[in-house]
Amino acid sequence: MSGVGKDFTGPRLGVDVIAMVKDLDQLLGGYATGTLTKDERETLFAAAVDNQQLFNALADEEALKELLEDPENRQHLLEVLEARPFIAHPGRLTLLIEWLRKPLNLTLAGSIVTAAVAVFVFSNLFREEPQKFAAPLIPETTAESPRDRRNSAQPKREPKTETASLPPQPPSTTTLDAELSHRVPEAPIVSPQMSDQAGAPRDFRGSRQFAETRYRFSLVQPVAQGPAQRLFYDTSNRETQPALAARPTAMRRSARQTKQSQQLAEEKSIPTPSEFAKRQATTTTSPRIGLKLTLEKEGPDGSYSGMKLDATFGQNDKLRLIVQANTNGYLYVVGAVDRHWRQISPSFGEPQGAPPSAGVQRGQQISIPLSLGSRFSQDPGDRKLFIVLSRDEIQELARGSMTAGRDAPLKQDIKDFLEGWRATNEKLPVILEEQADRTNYFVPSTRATTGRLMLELDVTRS
Amino acid sequence: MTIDDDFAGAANSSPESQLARRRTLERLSQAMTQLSERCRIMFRWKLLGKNFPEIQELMGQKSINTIYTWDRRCRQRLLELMGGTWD
Repeated sequence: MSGVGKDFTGPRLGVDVIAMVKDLDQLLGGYATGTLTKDERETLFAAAVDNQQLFNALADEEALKELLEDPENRQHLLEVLEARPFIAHPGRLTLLIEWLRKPLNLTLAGSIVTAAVAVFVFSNLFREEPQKFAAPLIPETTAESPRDRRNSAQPKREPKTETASLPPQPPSTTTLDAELSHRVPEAPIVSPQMSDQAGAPRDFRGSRQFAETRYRFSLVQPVAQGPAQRLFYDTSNRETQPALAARPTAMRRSARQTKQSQQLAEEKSIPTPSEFAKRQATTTTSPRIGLKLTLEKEGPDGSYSGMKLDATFGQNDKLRLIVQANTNGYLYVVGAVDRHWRQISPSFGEPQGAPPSAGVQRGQQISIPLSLGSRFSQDPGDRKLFIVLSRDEIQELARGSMTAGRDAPLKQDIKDFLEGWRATNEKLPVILEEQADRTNYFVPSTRATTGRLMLELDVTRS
Repeated sequence: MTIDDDFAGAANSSPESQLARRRTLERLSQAMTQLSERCRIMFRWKLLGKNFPEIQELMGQKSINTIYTWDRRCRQRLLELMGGTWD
């Protein structure tokens, strides 16, 4: 008869003996029920003689063997076993159910199911997070250069594109009065021509291939409380034409003289808020210079809407600055992105070579497009926005850009000028005016004799 | 019957031993009801006098080592249900 007799090759020394004992241990179940073959029994007994563990195991089986030798006991156990119907060849499901009958197995299965459910829930939970911040990619309008895009979005700075009734663009040698007279006063902020000039309406519901990094503007200067509107629109700050007539001379001021005047202003004491209030109430001989700024973002329909202080934007979002000065002067906007400093306004490099002017009129709302675009990289670098309003033209900001060429990074002297200003001048307080859909930033100058102020914004990752 | 058989029979016929055997049988019966289907099948064949090769054929297994392994596991499970001892 087959069985152990064929597989058993006899006891051997060393490790094989232990392995054989383990194998012969499988015969113990047949010993108690008396179902071993002759060969199996002899093999088992022979091995037990030489192995005490096996011998003891056989001795332990004697109790069960004696119990099962009684035919009545066997019959009783058969009746117990046959009380539940047998499945001759149980399937896998039956075997699984039988496996789950064991408490340990049931606990193990429950733990596995619980872990799988937890993984599924958490994976779905966090998969939703990137979708909240994913923004549709705005396709670049490669057909037009960045300069053309700025020009198309600045109807007030390019009067010749608005209507034919406007006077032609004055040459570079014209006076400031003549130049400012060609500005379009009180022009509407929202340009309905923008989307049309860009061609087909932009489809902002582009493919969401990845989660876009979000950014936000944050103030560097302290926030102050006060009647922003009243301080900004104070009529005592109105400048007269004779003051404006002196501008051409000021325009031709040398850089050295500009620096000297700046140093002189810095040497003067900075008035405290109470002193400033007294000056405001008592004198108007030194009108204050103030700046009002609002940030707007282009929506899917091409129209711009205001941004709150904590609003976020993507690097491909189209933004614009709405700047208003409470006095005639010169406005400059410089962006420092990824260690590249670029003058955003005035834009340079006119086709005819005429240098642009930074001059602004009192109360005039200037719309300055701002697109951070692909200049953002993974490297944090410096991300700043400088809005400078000056009663006099700043030669460093004008000359450097003119010589640098079209859309070129600023020269080092412009960077040094702004950084030097930041290091030597007190940060002016900013008054915030919260409206329903936007935040207005007011920077009223507290130093009436300086005639120059700067608003600095950080661009940080949200 | 030999003298040893008489002697063994006398020892097993005492009330105490009979009571012990009855209790063991009850415990064994209760434990068998908690066995798996496979183990119950194997024990039934063995109680009916089938040896391992015959059980191998009845259960349709190609290797007799499989039957050996199953039987060992079933025996160990039954021993656990009996509290670790057959007595």
